[in-house]
Amino acid sequence: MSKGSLHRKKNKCIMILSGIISLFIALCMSLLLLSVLLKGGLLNEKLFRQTLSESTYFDNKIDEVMQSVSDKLSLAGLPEEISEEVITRTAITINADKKIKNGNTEKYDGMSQFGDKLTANIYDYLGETGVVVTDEVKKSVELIVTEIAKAYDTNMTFLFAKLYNEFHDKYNHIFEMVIYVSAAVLIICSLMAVFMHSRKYRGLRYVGYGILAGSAVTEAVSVLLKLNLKGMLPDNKTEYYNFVSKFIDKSFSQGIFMCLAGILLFSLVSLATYYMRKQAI
Amino acid sequence: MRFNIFSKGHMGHRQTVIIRGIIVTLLAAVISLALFFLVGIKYTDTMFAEFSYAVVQGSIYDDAETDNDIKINNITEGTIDESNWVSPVVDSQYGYIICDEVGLNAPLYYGDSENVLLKGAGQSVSSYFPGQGGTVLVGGHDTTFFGCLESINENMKIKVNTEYGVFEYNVTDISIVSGSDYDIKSDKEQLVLYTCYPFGKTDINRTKKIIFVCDKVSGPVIGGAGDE
Repeated sequence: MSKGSLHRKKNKCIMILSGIISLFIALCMSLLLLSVLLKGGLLNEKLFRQTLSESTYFDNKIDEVMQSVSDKLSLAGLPEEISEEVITRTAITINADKKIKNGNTEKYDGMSQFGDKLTANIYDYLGETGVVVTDEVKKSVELIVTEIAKAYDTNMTFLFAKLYNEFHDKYNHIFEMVIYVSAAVLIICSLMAVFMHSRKYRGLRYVGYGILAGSAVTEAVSVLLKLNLKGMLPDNKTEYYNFVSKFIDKSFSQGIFMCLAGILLFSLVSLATYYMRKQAI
Repeated sequence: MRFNIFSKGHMGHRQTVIIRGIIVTLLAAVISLALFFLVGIKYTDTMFAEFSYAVVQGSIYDDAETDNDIKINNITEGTIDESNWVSPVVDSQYGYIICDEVGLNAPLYYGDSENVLLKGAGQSVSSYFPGQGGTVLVGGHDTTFFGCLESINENMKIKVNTEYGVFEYNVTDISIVSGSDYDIKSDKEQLVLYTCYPFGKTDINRTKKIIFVCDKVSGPVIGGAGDE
């Protein structure tokens, strides 16, 4: 076999191997971007709470809480107006956020603002009606506020968030691992592609192909995953399901940004290839 | 004569590099997508099934706030006139299966397609409805809604709350079988719950099923006017 044909054969072999490495880079890139997408979306507790706060879910909740507190106030012979400035959408949203963040464990002591404001409102009312505040009255007010705060706490329990937290805890670490492993394999494959070629810029080209393919796959798969997940859920038109739907939309809307990040990386690799080639020539 | 698009005589080096780049990128993308459909989708489906379970179960806990579409009729005895009774539509929810002792609270659907089993328990369309006097065959996933069946023992009570009545059954037999066939009886009302066995494994090749046979204790009867 002539030296020229041996050289051609070697080049062909390197080309095929580089192609295979490109495929691995594409796989690792899409795995990495999808894991980041899921971790930053569906497994993002902050996004979950933020979407809940922004959704219309609390519009219904406020009526429910109001009703419960009003019932308790009526039982104590107090007008329901006392709770008007205490139970607001903002207060409910903040307290719900705190409770979900702490796994529904925060008791009403953590909502001291609620208790303090309610107590102040009751004393204002008693003052207006000419009731003399004795130690006995103080004790009664404290008891009423404790009872109402307990009722408020019960109403502000979000068991669906507990289930979501369980889901989050189960998968979060898995995707953390996937991110590290796929990033490591991506770097190793890229180095292999670069060092396989005597002219490094040629290897870098294959890295770019893999990155571009991986970015495109990420976007396509994220759209498919979103449709798949939405298809799995009942199509109830309640506030709760509207919130879940919004959360899924938000989670996967970042897929396009992941794809753009990949394209940006591809542009950087292409630029590096261009300069390295220029230097080599 | 062989035609080679990569031959340098046919086109310049730059064009060869561009075409090679497009082909490698496309091939890598297509193969990655194919691999996702062949391997990855199994794992994402398992993960999404658990998310779906968390959402559906969460909606049950949150029932009061979300005014669920299902309105349970609390009739526990008597006869429902068959001519006035409307059979649930396939793939729609018509009740709940509840066993407080083990924390079972699953939406009950008519039909047991894969899509339905992601949302709750599914009653086989070839079986009878509660109250019709035959076998009510209900399946569910052991990784989600029917996972708690692992703790069910004989003599425990299972309630089926439907849009037309509330039924109570007593667990009388628990058995593990191979295969998926079950004889539907028309002469005795029994609630039969089944799920994959062993519990909690994500191996899709499991062929064993665990079956919980429950005899009717109470609940209305669907029949002609005057039947009891």
